[in-house]
Amino acid sequence: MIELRKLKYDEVNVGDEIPSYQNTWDKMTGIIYAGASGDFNPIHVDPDIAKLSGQPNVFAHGLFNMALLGRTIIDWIGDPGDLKKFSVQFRARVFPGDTVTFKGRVVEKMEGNMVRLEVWAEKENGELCLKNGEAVVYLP
Amino acid sequence: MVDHKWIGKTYGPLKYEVGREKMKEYAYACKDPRDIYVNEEFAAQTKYGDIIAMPNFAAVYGLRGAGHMLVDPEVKLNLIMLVHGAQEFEWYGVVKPGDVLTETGKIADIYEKGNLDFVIYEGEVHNQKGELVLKARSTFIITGGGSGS
Repeated sequence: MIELRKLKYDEVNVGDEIPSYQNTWDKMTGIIYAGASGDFNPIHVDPDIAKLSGQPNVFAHGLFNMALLGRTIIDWIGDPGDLKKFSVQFRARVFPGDTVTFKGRVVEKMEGNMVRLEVWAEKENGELCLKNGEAVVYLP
Repeated sequence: MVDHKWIGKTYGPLKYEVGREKMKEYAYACKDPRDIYVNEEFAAQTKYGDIIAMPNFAAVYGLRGAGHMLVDPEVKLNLIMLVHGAQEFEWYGVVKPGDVLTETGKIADIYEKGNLDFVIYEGEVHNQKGELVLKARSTFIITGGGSGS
């Protein structure tokens, strides 16, 4: 039997930072995500429409950014089934060429082997594209 | 302003049959094709016995009711001024290929803060065994007057 879990509740302390993940977004990524998710809102794939809506260019789907932040948490815990709750606010837009760093920190060890994290994503200029994020994970 | 009388309006039930290749496609699109999402031989050796959906695949099977609300001709949200402000997912189980999911949801709240209108959508997803799989809460923000009419 292959064990997916990597981390134990006792190994984690409040204040611990989880390993960050970094990704540079491009237009093709947005087109592929549109197809996979079924969200064809043209502001994410058609630069002309994005400009009509007042944006300088197309920008990443918020739910794509959220999935990458989720991946950062799962890289740390190991088993995707141990991610129990996850929330974010969508803020700064991610444009082609923007590099985003996905981060998290342990804020509480709760009863029942649950651990609460604050999680967020920031661009190189310091703007937060995912803000006030929170995740609850189970650790054995 | 969005009419508060739509608070409580329900959407669904909406059925979604989970496709093996769609799960994988979503994992690849999110640049995370880890074995437990895409490799059946690997997954067979884990406690899951088969590949599982990336948790954020909930964006595909769990937000369709919200999508219906956004284009609901009765509620008439001003989509040009609308942004997806926040998203919360709570998972109660994993999703596997062939699962038949049923989503139900409602407009949980409508309120104003300054010049902004907030519309809160809450949905639940159950699988073919009747087990709760997901709760989703979406916040949509409309700037400069919420109604498109």
